[in-house]
Amino acid sequence: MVTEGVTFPNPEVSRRFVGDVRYFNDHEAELLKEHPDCWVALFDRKVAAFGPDLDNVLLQLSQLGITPVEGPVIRYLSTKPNLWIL
Amino acid sequence: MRVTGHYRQLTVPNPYSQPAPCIAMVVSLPTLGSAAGYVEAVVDTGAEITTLMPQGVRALNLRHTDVQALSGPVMNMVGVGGAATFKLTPAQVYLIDSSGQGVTSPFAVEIALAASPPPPDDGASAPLALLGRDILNRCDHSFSFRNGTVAIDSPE
Repeated sequence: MVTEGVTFPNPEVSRRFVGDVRYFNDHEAELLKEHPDCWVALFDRKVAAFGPDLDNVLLQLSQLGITPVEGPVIRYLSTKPNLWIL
Repeated sequence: MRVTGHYRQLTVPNPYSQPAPCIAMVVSLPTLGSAAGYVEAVVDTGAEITTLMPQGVRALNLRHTDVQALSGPVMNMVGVGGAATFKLTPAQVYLIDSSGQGVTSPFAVEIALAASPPPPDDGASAPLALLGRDILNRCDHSFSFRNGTVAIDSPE
């Protein structure tokens, strides 16, 4: 599925996205407790969608009318202490 | 223009984990219709090119089959964890300041898109995107974990 075109990047969406990134960073420990081993999509400082399956989380977002250009912040909250060497 | 990022843990904190420098970015992919979106990227001086990992491709509402159908070159990307197949395609990448106020001019690059589905479980917590040297080498950058600063100065 391909998102329809918009003027990009939108200043208001950019501000909300980085605000949500900051909120996620500040509350990640709580969110991990509430949604362990889940994908969590934060939008406007609220959990808009969550679940163990990314496709289902994207479907939930779509049902709310939230597309990637609207800037949801999506992270997987793992309880496993993996180490990433990129 | 200077844009700033942030540090964050990529994994649940453990005795060996270290926060990674990250930055908000917008990716627009003209070869995939009007696919575009916001993602958080790890600033990765070890990555040759800016990359959307399988989860990042999916987070832009694209499927790996969309990527496989692209006509661009196929690259076997080799990381410390092994190799995976990616496709290169033109993209415009904007870096977003952590205040939300500043945005760089677009970087026109060929971005690497994962052509495989997102991995289950253990791989899911991988970063969605990597900001690579194709963009970083056009900029000056400075990192200070002690001061909590990630700064990228783009040439404009």
